[in-house]
Amino acid sequence: MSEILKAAYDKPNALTQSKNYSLINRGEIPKYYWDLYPLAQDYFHEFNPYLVHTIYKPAVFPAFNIFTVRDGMHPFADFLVLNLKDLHKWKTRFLIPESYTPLIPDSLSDKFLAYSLTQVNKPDIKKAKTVVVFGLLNEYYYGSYEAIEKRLAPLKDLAPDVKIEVCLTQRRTPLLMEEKENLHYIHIPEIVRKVLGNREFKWLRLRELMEKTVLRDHYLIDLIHTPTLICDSYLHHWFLSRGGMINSLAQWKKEDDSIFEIDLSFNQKLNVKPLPDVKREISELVFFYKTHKGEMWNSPPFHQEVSKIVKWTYPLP
Amino acid sequence: MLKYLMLKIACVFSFRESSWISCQKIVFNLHKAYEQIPGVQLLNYDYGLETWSGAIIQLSNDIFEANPDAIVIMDHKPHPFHFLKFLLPKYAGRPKPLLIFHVFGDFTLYYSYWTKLGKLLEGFPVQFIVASGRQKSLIDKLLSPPLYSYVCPFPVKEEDFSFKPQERIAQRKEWGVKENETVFTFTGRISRQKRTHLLLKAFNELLIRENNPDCRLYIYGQADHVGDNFLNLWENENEYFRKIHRQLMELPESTRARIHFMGNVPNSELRSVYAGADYLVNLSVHNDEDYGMSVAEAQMSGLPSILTDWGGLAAFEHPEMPEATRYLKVTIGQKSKIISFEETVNALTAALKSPKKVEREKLIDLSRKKFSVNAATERLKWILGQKTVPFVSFDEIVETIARRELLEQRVYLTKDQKISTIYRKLYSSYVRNP
Repeated sequence: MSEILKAAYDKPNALTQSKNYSLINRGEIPKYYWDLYPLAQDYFHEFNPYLVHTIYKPAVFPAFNIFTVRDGMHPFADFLVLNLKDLHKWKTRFLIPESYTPLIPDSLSDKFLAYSLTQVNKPDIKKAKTVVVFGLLNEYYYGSYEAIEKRLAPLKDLAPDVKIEVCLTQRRTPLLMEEKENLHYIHIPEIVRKVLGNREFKWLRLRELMEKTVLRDHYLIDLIHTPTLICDSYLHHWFLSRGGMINSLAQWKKEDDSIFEIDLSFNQKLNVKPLPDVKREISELVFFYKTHKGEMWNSPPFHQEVSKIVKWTYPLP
Repeated sequence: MLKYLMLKIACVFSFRESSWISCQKIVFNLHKAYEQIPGVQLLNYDYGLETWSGAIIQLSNDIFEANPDAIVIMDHKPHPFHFLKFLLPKYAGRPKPLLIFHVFGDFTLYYSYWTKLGKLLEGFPVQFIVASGRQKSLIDKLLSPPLYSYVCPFPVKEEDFSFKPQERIAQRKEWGVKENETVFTFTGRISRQKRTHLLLKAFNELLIRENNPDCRLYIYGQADHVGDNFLNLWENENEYFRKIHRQLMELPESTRARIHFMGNVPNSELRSVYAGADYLVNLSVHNDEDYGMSVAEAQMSGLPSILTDWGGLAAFEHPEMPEATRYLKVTIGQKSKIISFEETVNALTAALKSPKKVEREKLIDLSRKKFSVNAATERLKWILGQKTVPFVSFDEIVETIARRELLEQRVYLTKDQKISTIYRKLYSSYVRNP
């Protein structure tokens, strides 16, 4: 497997390279890409990072030796059950987050490796001059109101001269067939105000956040609770590459079982390693898939089944 | 011709900072230069990317009702066509104000808008102001005689950039650099068209040839993915960073230890960077290189530079002080813009060995005369006093390019991927002795 990685590294062939970009027609893929803006923005590294479930032409897969899966656990599980047979035929290898391993059938183990993303600088909110809170107003993203409150708790202990900026953005929920009415835009700002009390803070529009050019001394509290929608957020890459720190990524340390490492910026690393030895539970998901009619990507019961298998919650402070 | 005394000027710009870092400073410094013109009354109007259509109509009404003598388009985006299309028709049969366009490097990205705007501008007194002589040469090819552009370098605030010996000591201490070490620095976007890859390669070669001399390279800025679209070289986010990082990893460890990527820093920190460094190196061959804000700031801090002889970078040559700027020849080749690797290494070597230290104070004095806000004020006063001619049309090349872009035809490359005649015609302005 390491030879495959080395070959991919030596001769990169990624969908997000300009030479291949014409294969991606943004007009035809699901709205997912824009629904999650900026989290699903494309970026390049040699191991071909992509939202694999958005590739609607199966013929694309065999053309690439490797993919780094950026999909959230629900869309990735949907991709797996739909393509189980084809996956056996393709020579393509996939890098997945370690926590997705239970979804991989034993018979397909040789097609998968695990990856993790880490930040080089130690994330320390006490070193920050500006703390930015980011969240999508969508329960698939933040989990629960209680989780939000817990993630915001470190704001209470910040020195008075630290600036606080809050960027909450509301979008369509891409995992639901029909958007349901919600009042997140009322309740979540209330939580922010409750945590911060009389302390001053600034509401930040997404454009204002993305136009920041110097993020040194910035610390991001991302309200992401579980990787249901996306597991490799462009926002994290963007923030780290500009020198910031993030609450939800571990600090890099040398790992003994590492097979390959890529610097995604001077402050972010991708580490590839073997799949961990854990129980595989895909058969239950396949059974569910076969016994339920209709599409799975927008099915809450399917999401529930996936959540039972993939146990990944970003740690609370 | 306008008398600038008692002149009412409508300044149109985005009140929010541009994400294009150099433009953040330019607009506000230009505004200050206008502000210093005695007797002028400035009326400020916000026109940014988030100005919605209703506000654009309101903006044009407000400007019309204010009845200014001149309207100055000070910012580079959004394109002024979107509000001028509402404003200019109001002047039918009425006295027309002077329209002043400050031209930025991205002028050549919006041919279709300039074509549309050209029709609306007919009969208006118009002045195009560019930042350098080479940009004037380029823009004049797009205008129809007798209309020519004027040059007013983008100004730098003296209070932001100067030289203090103690700042040099502090900065070098922070870097951990000894006084006898030579520090080269680059500040700007890490970018294909800024030839960061060439800089790394040439610096490594310098270390090899000179047997690891005492020198370092500090690179400030963030990798972009601008590519070189005119030459059909596209990049996605992080593509150029990965290229640079791979190149860096392939260099000997001894070289890597002398190259420092520092990321983006606030503008306020650049002055000490320029104080601590010995040379600024900028190898840009960017199509938008109408000027070089980082070079202007470095020179205002007394820092000599090694520059490509391309576009607006040529504006930083001082005949009174030739040692302040070393130029590298650029040629427009068959498929790309070419800088000689050998010449780049030689320039770095010569700088390293140069026994004569550049007199910083002298360079600062020379630069202030050309690039300070006060200098811009004087220049603008002169430009405002010039006779204006009514606009007739842009040169037909503007419409030709706009049409070809619209039809997704190649403009700057031939069918066999070679640089086209149009490219050569325009960008011969950016090189010396084309």
